[in-house]
Amino acid sequence: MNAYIMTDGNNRLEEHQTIAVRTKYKSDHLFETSKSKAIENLLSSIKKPSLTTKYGMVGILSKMRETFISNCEKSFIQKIINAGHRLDGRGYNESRKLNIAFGSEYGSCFVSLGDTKVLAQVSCEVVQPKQIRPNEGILYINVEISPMAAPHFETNRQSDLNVYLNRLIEKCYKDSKCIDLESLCIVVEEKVWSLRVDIKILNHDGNLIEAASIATLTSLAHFKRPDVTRNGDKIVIHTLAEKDPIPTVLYHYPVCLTFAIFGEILLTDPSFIEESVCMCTAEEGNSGGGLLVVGVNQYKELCLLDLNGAAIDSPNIVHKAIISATERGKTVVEYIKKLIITDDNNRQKRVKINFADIITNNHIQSLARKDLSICLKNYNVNDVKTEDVEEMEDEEVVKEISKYDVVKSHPHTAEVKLKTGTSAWIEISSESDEG
Amino acid sequence: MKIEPEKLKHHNLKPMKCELNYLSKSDGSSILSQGNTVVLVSVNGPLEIKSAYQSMEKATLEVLFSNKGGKPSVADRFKENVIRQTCESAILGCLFPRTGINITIQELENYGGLVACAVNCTCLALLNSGVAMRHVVAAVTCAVDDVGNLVLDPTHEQIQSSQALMYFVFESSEKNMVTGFTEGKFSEDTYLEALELCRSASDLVFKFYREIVSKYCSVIG
Repeated sequence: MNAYIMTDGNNRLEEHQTIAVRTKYKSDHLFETSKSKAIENLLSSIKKPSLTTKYGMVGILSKMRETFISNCEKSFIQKIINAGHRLDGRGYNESRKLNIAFGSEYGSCFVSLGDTKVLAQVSCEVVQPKQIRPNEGILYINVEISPMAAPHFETNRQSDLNVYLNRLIEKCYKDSKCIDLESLCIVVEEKVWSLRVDIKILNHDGNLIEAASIATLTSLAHFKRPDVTRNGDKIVIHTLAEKDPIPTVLYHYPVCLTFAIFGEILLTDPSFIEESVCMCTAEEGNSGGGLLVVGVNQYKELCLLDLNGAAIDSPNIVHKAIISATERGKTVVEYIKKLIITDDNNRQKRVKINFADIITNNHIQSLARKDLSICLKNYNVNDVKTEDVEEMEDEEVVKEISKYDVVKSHPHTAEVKLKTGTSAWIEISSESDEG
Repeated sequence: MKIEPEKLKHHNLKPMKCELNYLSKSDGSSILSQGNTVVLVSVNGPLEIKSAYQSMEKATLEVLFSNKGGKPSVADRFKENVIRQTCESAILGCLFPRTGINITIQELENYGGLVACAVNCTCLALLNSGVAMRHVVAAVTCAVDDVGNLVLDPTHEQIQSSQALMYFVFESSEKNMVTGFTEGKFSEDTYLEALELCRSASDLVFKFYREIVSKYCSVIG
């Protein structure tokens, strides 16, 4: 793994400390002897990684691996992005649909950003505070990527992505001091609340960072801890039925937003393939690719910046990304706040809220792909219509333009059902009007 | 011991809701709610695994149970074991020697009968992934309340006040018991009665499977 992380040039290694630390994790034997010497040796031996070395590595690996992006996919994606399109028909600054559902407990939420799905749960317990901070509570963040997210993640093993994601979320929420940790103190030097945020990645379809950070923020803002009263030396923790629980105090609401860099172009909310293509180009040493993570809060203040690849040496891109991030960050935070208020009102009215509500019948399909995710902007049904009709000899033109309907003619034949999803189906009728 | 149809009619399972193909990256996935308990399962496989885990005779099952929050516990490993052994009997593993089938279970809500819901959801995910199976399995929970009466598919409150809890898993072809485990104290007669009660109730679960699968199979897309 370490071979192609470190082949991007000496200056990149120095500037991107997080990556260097991560590589050290994986290959202690390399760094043990002499760190700088080992890097020098490696760089001189492999100036630029060729594709053969990559595929050679795949051969040795015993476990199912992530599918590599082929050259033609790579060049196609870059070509259409330069021409002003994206594979799923979005604009450069357009995000996928954000959906947040709450569970029955306080502090549990389910975030889906397009097909990327993340579950977050906050739990609390009373612990002894740290010696250096006797009057502060503890915030612990744990990100888990199981094989559920994608088959190439291994069970019970921390991947590089896992460590990176965990650290990034920690930086965004712990180091930006958005939570009032002092309010979590019960008795100085003896008892404080420890909040634990568990983030489970359920489906990896690109932009995990943004989805995980929205999930963390929503669950923290939604969470309420039980009330505590002090009775002399005794401490009584009240159940939810006895006393109303207390919400967590958040000074500000930071949220991480990801941008994919393609030359001078910035893509908001990159999908899985866009992310992999731009990371590939960054790893190959071509300048002009890379991911940029910007953490902003609702006051349009910058909380976190994670530079990768091309972002390091082009302040223009970073500046552009920050401007676009502040706008989107504000709308995301406002949306989260609004949802929490409506959820709180519903709970007061004793409406049953449960994750069972996310099960719907909107997307009944027998294949794994949900909706048609690829759509071409310049494609117009009217343009292709004439060709289509000629090809389908038996099926004739229908009354409505651009709508064809497959109607079942025999009891056991298949039929297309119209869904309420985003993509509209072209309906083709097998009933012939004109013979 | 036979349960009269009238008695069975009286008993009802909690409402079930299910969605297949919930996750786009997995080979098969399903999300199932039984009452207020919700579980999400993804199935990947057959795929290549480490040679240490490979078996010459059949596919190796890897089951991971992930709780909602907090540290992983021994109870989670126990659930993994129950589900792995149940699925091993159902999957035709001899068709895929030296490969692995990966099952990941994510708890979303736990209001009683979590293991039963997880087994049923796993079965639906396996059906969705297209792994060859000998038979399907259905899990049913039964509680013995403080007076000694049997409660089929108990709710959260009923479980809290019960003195014993029994889980049974049945297969579809002969309706034989595949897995069974219990918590608490009960008499032998109660156990046998509960077994028959759950056996007849498992029909409702199989009927639900049939409905879901036929609903998804009538659609192409």
